[in-house]
Amino acid sequence: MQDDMIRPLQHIDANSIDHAISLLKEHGREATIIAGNTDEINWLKNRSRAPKVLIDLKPLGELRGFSRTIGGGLAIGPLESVTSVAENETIRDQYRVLSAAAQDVASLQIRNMGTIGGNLAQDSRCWYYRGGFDCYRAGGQTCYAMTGRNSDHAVTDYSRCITAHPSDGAVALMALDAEIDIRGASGKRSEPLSDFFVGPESNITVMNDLDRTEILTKIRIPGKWAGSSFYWEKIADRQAWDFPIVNIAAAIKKSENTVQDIRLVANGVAPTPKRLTGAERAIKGKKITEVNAKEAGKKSLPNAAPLSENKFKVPMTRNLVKRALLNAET
Amino acid sequence: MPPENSKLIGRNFDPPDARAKVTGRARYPDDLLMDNLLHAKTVKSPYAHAKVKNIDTRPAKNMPGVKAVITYDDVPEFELSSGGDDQPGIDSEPRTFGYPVAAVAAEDEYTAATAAEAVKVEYEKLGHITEPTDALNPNKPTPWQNGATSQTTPDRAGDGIAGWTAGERVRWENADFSKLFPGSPGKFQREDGWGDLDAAWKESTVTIERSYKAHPMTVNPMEPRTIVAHWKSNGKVMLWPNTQDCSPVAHYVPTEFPDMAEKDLTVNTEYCGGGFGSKQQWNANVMIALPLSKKTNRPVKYRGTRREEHWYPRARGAYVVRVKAGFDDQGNCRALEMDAIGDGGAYGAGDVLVKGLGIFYESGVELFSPDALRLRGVAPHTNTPKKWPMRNPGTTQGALVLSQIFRLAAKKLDMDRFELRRKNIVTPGDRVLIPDELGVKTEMEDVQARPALEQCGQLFNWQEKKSRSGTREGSKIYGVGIGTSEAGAAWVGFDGLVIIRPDGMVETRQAVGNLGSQSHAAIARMVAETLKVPWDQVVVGWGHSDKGAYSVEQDGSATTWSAGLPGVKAAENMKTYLREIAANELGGSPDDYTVEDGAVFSGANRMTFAEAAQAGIQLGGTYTGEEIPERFKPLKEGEYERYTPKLWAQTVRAADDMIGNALVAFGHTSEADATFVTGSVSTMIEVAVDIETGKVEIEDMATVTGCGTIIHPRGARAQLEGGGIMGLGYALLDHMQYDPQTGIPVTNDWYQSKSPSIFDYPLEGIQTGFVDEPLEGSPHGAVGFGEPPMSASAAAVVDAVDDALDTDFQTFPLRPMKILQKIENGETRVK
Repeated sequence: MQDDMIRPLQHIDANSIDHAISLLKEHGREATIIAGNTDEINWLKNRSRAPKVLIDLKPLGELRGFSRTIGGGLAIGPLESVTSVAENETIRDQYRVLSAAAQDVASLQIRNMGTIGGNLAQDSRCWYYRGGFDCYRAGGQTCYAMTGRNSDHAVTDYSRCITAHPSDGAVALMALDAEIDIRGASGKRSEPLSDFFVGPESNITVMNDLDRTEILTKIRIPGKWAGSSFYWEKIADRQAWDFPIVNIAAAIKKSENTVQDIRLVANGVAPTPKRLTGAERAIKGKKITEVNAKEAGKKSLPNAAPLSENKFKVPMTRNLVKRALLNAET
Repeated sequence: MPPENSKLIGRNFDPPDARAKVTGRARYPDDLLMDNLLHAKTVKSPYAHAKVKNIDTRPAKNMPGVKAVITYDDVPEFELSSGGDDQPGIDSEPRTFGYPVAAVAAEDEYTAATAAEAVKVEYEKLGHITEPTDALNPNKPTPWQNGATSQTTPDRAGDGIAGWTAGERVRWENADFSKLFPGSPGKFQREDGWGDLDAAWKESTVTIERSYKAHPMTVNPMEPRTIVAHWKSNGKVMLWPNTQDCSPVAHYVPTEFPDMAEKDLTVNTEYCGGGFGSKQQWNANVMIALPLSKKTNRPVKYRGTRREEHWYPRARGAYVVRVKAGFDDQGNCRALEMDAIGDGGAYGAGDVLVKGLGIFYESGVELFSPDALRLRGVAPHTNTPKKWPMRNPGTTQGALVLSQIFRLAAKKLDMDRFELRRKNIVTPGDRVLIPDELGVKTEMEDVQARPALEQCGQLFNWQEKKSRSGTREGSKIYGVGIGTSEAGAAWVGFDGLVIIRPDGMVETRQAVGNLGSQSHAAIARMVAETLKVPWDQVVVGWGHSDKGAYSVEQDGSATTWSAGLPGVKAAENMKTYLREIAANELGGSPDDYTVEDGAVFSGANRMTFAEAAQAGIQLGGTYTGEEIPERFKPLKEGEYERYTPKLWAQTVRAADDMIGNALVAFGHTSEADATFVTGSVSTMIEVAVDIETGKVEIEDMATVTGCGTIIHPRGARAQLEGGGIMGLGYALLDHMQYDPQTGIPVTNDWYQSKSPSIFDYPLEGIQTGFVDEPLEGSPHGAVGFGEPPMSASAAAVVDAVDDALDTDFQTFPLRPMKILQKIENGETRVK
């Protein structure tokens, strides 16, 4: 229970992606990686985690930068700060939902330090898990939130762990149908961002599918949704330095106010970013009207099973879907 | 507006500590680096309530670099305040998560942390509670093996006035705990009141009765409470306790250590990064750092952390209350009943019983001015951090509740809320309570609550704004609310010390702390104004027990009056000396002479302060402090007399280096100066409540203080704004939460307890105003008002949300979850 005291460790600046991967392989469970270090440092200071080796990705220029891709898309180096994502002109012009989401992350100071890759790969914010309780996610045998303080927790898609995913960036990038590239000791792989996130029914101790030697190397936004109608809103208790109660990102292709295609994603409601497919189906092919938007909202969380303190998240999500449909703009 | 003929009062200035703070030169306890410094860490209980069965400190003691290990057997118990039940710094029955059971001191912080982790402790886990009503429930665990409440009990004398003594602990055997405020409550620990309640109820045409629960809150000052102590081998002790008080620490800490003399203890509180009351007197970590330093005769630093701020300090406690108010058809409050269960936390619940509940009652009385009154209260323990004090303790919890009573009453009476409040709010001559002296009713000497309310109404434009109440734009509904609050701010029994050096410089030596409110500078301005001396000729002293007159704690909104008046009295004495010296040197009568602009003069006869000081040194005697005026006869070292007319020993010691070498003037306040005045604040807020998300936006906010003459307009505005924002945070966001199953806090960080950010109030600013008329019996007509802005804004924003939704909330804070759920439940105007 000592806190604010990082245990002695070795800090190594990685000089290439391969170097970082070889270090991860060499040190195994004794190593962890940092980039912006706005999340991991809390675990270290609270002595909940005590890696012997800290592999720092910050020097890796190859993990930075923005570049246009074939088909009019955009590739983002995961080491780009959340601020640089928020301020990138292409993103502002073509993928405004992402700049709006990035602008709402944490606080200015954290946005300046934190990376977009870290925003995607961040750990659970369940206050039991963060508080050192021996819950399922921490390797224990119970979920304290299930019968305890669960106002911030998931209302759908949970299993033994009821954490809610906290990322803002993930929601916007999933709405843009982003893909990611990953490199590790076993080679390279790519996958849709939606497949990156891992729910507790698959593996209760992790939030994503990175294995111990893998590093996120690229985030790729396809050109398909460039310039679409977008909506972003984050409901949090505070206007800064807060995680979402519920957030929502919408990307909509419309023709004369009729929805041709749509991606609606929310966080704060499930252990992984939640694609609101029920609502998408309900509005697709229909005109956006108050009545239709409201009906779509009702379909947003069909399997919701809220807990003792978070019933309110269901109407909040329903209302946000309605607002997203009615207010999305190009 | 500055008062006529004033040169300093009512004008902005740069406080003497400001430059050091913004350049980083200010040295807080955590900045102290010394040769030989040891670092302390504690072994903390992993349970909300446990008993230590065995403790083995050998693994830590045997570790290289470890210099001392202490347990609960090594530290004296001590009384933090008027709690009645002592709080040990290290406990064998830790009653809250994270409470220390042992401590180590080592050559470096890493070794200390590792050593603390090496101490082997075998605990017997005991039952816990986190809700104050559970402590009264005989079917729930007892939060402390000695009992569920403090032993503090009124000891009624023949005239009905009660002191406090150790008595019976209570539990409510037959109460109905299914209700928010238990039905059929058992015995209360304090009862008070006045008037014929039965008759008053009969005269009431409108009666409102409601039960509420105000929530607990972590104080979260900017600076966690780091402490440095150095008990030297020669018996001298240096202490940097990170408190907002100075003199009382220097006086009372030695009473806990039989081998420490008051004259050997030096306390430095020059810089303290906020405390909001919770760093009043001294923190429990004194009982860790001092014993470790005593054992090693080396300086010991115990660095506080943000997590420990949530586990180990003092905090705002939950209040569960039942309020019943009766009004006649003209809106006059005839009867008021206030029943309260105040969470005392793990240690010293008597503080909440005596003071916290007392202040809550006082706030109700000052809002309602009832003809008949009944107050009942109990302060149980819980297995949560000690709950005393924090910015208007009791009043701020009450603010959430009492504003709703007014709103409901106004609705039933079909009266404007502003008019109803204006009609009932305290005015000079009204009967009021002295919070901690049961049975004592006194008369309000002077108060500006009503003018502040009226001015706030104009500034906010209440009549126009209220026309938007309940109107809707898109998903937003508008509402307006009022909050008013008071804080008694005049205590006596303290000293002032003013020195004029041979170079003509004026020193104001007050040992008040410096928690950031700038009141230490306000005192110096009043002294300088009294002497009409230019500000650049003044050296301001504060926060050092060897270098300042014995001063009031810097809390309770009391410093401006309670340290200001003795300072002004010292300055007036100094003026007398200057006139006498000038008359002696230059001829004429002392009464002929004027003191102004750093000189004393009568026509062409003129002496600068430097010349007067040099002449005074030749004369000696009382002018130079070599003789202390008979009326001041100082107390002996370590001696205490309540309301004594004598100077404190610390004060005389603080003048030591100047006695015989400068002009030395003392001042003192005693019972003859006692008065009952308060600083008042009224706040009005317009909110827009988003009925689709439950979010509350502050559309407009105006706040006005009636605190007499404004000494420092910029500082006063900062208090109004800062306190107002903190109140918004308490009502809407800030919440200390515990896991009910383990009693362990789940809010352990700023981002979890949710103090408001810069974006959580109107970016275009808060409108502020001052009544700015002198208050009777106050130094330069001024009192402090650091606390009421918080309570007033908390009350106003709850009232405004209620108004928007046409509902009332029983529990808080009003986060989106609570508001949206209320709407979903169909309990608002939103259908």
